[in-house]
Amino acid sequence: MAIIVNLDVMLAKRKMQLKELSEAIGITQSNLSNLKTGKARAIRFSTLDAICRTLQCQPSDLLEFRD
Amino acid sequence: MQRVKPILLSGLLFLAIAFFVGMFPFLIHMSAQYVNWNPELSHLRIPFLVLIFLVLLVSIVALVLALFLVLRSTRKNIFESLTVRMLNLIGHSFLAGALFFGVMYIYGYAQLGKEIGLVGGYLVLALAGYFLAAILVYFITDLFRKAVEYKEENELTV
Repeated sequence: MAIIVNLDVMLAKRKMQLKELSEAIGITQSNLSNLKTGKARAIRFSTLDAICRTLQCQPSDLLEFRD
Repeated sequence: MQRVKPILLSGLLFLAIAFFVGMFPFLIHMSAQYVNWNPELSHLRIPFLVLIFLVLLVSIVALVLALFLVLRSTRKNIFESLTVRMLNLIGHSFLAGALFFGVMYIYGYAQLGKEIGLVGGYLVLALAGYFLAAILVYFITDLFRKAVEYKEENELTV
């Protein structure tokens, strides 16, 4: 798939660990890891909302389209 | 009932496997007796026996796979790619059985012509039965494949 999730980049920018994010938004670490490594097939708007709210960023900061 | 059903089903499958296995010596005995009654047909004995044995073999393979699937379903979730592969194999087995019946009919007709009579009818009926079973199993396999796909997608939605 040509959609790339830049969650690790945003986490590094905010100097946050996956575990902290997981605790903040209430999504298991393994699910977030799936998202980070690109294994996830889809992302819910509610999840995107929670991540953007916690990391203080836009969806475009997390998702990228590369052909 | 939920717990009894697989036990009942596996018991039935086990009986069916035992029946098919028991058919091997029975058919050898029966065909020897038949050749005794009709010695002019003795040249047909071995080819027909081999073809029937092949049908029995693929049927046993299908039944064993079905038994394995039923036993597995009691312990694990059956919506996985292994189930799809096994169902596909069961479908192939039935299709192979139908093919062997077809070969048996063509060979019998070539050797006996119109004298094949009622046996030809039985062979065509068996062919139709195996073919129908194969189509049904392929249809179920396709349903399972889609179900597994949806399940994976659902699980990988974050």
